[in-house]
Amino acid sequence: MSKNAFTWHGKAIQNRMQLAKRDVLAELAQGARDEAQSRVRVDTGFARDNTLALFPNNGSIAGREEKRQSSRTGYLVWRDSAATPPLDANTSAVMCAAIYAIFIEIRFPFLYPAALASVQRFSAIAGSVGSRHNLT
Amino acid sequence: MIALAVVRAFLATQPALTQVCGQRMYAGSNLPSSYRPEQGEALLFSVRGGQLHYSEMVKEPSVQFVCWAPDDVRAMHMAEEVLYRVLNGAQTATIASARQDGQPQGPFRDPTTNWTFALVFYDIKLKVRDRAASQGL
Repeated sequence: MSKNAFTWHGKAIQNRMQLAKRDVLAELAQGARDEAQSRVRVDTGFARDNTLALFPNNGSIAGREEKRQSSRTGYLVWRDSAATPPLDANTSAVMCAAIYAIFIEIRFPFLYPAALASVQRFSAIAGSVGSRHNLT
Repeated sequence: MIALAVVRAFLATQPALTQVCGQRMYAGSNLPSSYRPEQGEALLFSVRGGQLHYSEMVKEPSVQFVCWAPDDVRAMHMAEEVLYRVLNGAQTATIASARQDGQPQGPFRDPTTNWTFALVFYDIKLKVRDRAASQGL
């Protein structure tokens, strides 16, 4: 008669996978933010500085108003940002909180190409996060 | 093959669209300086990104349509109804498929001119070249 025993690591692996998922989502958002910040057309820099990576379980960030100098006209101008949405555990995002971001995006797209570039790096990010969490 | 030229050529032959905006269909990111909303609807479209399919047989641009109109309802009607009817699911010798990406957005007001527009995006697949021809068959 043989004796067999096994140790169940399911819970530990599940935890590691949760952490890995969070890290993959965060890295996708960070990559998209960096790319978007490098692409956005700059006048006062407000849109660039308010291009944000939003991470899983992030709360909302309030909108604000700021005075900036326009590099085009030299004048001081008011710039407003909108509140960011709170995210659940399965979502990350890149957004530009400047309320006029849509008017930049439709003439000089910077968010969409950045998001697309980030998604195309998904396999590489998932692979490196997976090995960091000993999942590969 | 230039994606915008293909899209422009296709749209220009669609009566449902030309009835609404005539020949005011412009590829690019700016309207012509002569355009005024009183003239009626206008369609401005550009590629905002995309990729080449790994087979290199199909281009997959994401095309942004900015629907300008004299008022909010007409702008949204063009984005939601007219363009959807004309473009969603379209297939031709050069267009492999066209699918609306998300819901139309708007209406918006241009901060400089205060003119109304609505936005809608399409994922369009364009046949770069015929597979058989490329393989010398």
